[in-house]
Amino acid sequence: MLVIAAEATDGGLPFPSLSNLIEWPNLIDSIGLNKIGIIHLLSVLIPAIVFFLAGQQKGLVPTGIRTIAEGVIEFVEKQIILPAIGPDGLKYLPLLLSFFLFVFFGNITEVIPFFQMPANARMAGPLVLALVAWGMFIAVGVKHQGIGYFKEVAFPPGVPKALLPLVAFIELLSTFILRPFSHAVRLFANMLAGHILLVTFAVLCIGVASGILYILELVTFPGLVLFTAFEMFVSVIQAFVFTILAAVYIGGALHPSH
Amino acid sequence: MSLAAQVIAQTGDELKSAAAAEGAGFAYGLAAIGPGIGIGYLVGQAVQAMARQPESAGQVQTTMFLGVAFTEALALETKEDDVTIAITVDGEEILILAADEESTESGEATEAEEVPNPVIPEPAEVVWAAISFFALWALMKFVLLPPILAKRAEREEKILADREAADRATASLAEVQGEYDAALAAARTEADGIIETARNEAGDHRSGVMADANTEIAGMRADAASGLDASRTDAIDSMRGDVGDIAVAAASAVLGKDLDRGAQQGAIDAALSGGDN
Repeated sequence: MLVIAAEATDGGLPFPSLSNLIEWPNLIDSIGLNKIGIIHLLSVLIPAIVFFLAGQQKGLVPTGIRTIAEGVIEFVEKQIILPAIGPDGLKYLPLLLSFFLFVFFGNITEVIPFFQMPANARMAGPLVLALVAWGMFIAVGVKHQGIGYFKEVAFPPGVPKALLPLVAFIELLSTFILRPFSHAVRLFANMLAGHILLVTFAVLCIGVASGILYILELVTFPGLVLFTAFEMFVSVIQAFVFTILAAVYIGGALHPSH
Repeated sequence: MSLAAQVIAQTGDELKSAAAAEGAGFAYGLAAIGPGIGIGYLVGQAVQAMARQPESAGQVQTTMFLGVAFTEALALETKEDDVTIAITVDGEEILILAADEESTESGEATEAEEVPNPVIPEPAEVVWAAISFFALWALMKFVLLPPILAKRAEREEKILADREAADRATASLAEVQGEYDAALAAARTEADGIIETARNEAGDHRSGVMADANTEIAGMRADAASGLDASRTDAIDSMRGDVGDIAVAAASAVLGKDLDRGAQQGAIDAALSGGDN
C-alpha cells in the first residue's frame, strides 16, 4: 500500500508523495474501477445487505440485524431530520439515510485493514453527494415556494435598501454556487487530512525504527494508535455533519425564512 | 511514477522543496490558530449552554457540530490549497509532507507527467460514486426501507393498541372490582339482615314458648288450685254432712228424741264455720 518514495537524504525521512497516498491504479482497466470504486460499491452493498435482511425478518419485535438497521434509521430521524428540518422532513429519510451510510462507509475504510483509504479523501464521492444535495434543495425550494424561492434567497428580509444589490449577489453566489463546493470540500479535506495524519504517523513509526531514534517510537506508536481511534470518531462525525448540512439546506428550502 | 524518477526528483531540487515545504507548513500552522480558537470558544459556550439547560442539550449539540463544521472548514480550505506539512526534530527536518502545487512541481520537474490537483475529481471515480450513490438511494427508497418502516409502524400501532387495551382492561378491572365490592357489601348486609331476623325470630320464639309455658303453668296452677278448692269444698261438704249426721245422731241419742236433720243443719254449719275460723 504504502510506497516509500525516496531514499533518506541528509538525515531526512522519505515521505511518499501525495499521489502515492490517494491515487489508486485501476483494478479493472476497461471500466476504470479502482480501490475507490470498490469502496463506493461496498458502501452500497453492505447497507443493502443489512437493511434487506432486516426487512426480511418476521415478527414485530426487532432482534439482531434489524436492531442495527432500526437504530440507524432512528438516529437519522431523531438526531438529523427532526432538529434540522422538522416533522415534515421525514419524507426525505431515504435520501438522508443514504447520505449518512454512504459517507460513513466511505470514511470508515480509512481505518479498516487492506483498505486503509477513505474513499471520501478523493473529491469524486463528496462532489457527487454535494451535487445531489444541491439539486435536491433547489428542487425542494422551487416545488414548495415556486420561483419566489430565488427571490427569497436573494433578498433576505430586513436588509437596508442600499445594500440589497450587494447582498443579493453574495447570497446567490454563496447559496447556489459556493455551497456544493464547500459542502463537498468540508468532507473531502477532513478525510484527506485524516488520511495524511495516519500516514504521517505510520511513516514516522517505520522511519524511527533504527538506531538511537528508536526511542521516538514511544511517541509515534501511541500517536498512531490514538489517531486511528480519533479517525474512527471523525468518520462518524463527518458523516453526521455532511448529512445534517444537507438536511439544513433542504430544510431552508422547505420553509421560507421568517 | 517510477521509484527511480522520484529519487532523482527529490534529490535534485531538495533544498528548494524543503524550503517551500517549511514555509507552507508554517503558513498552515498560522492558519490553524484562528479556527482553533473559534472551535474552542464554540464548544466551551455549547458546554455552558448544556450545563445551564440540560433539557436543550440535543439541540445545542446539533448546532455545535454545525458550527464546528463551518469553523473547521476555514482551516481545511487553507490546507487543501497547500497541503504541506514539515516535521522537524532538533532543527533537522526528518519528514516533509509536500503536496502543494509548487513543491510537487519542483520535485518532479524531471518527470513530464503532470500531477493533478487533488481537488479535481477523477472522472472514472465520479462515475462510480454516482452509480453507487444513486443505486443506494433508489434501493433505500423503493426496496430496503419500506418493509422496515411498515413493520415499525405496525409495531407502533400494535403497541398503541395494546396500551389502549391495557387501559381498557384496567378500567374494566376497576369496574368489576367495584361490582364485586358492591355485591359483597350487599351480601354482607343481607347476611346481617338474615342473622338479625333469625335472632329476632329466635327471640320471639323463645318469648312465645316461654309465654306459652308460663300460661300453661299458670293454667295448671289454676287447675290445681281449683281442684284443691273443689276437693276442699267436697271434703268440707262431706265432712259437714258426716259431722251433721254424727252430731244429729249424737244429739238424738242425748236428747232421746229424733231431731229434724234439716232443722239442725244451720246450727251445725255455724259450729263448723266457727270451728273453721
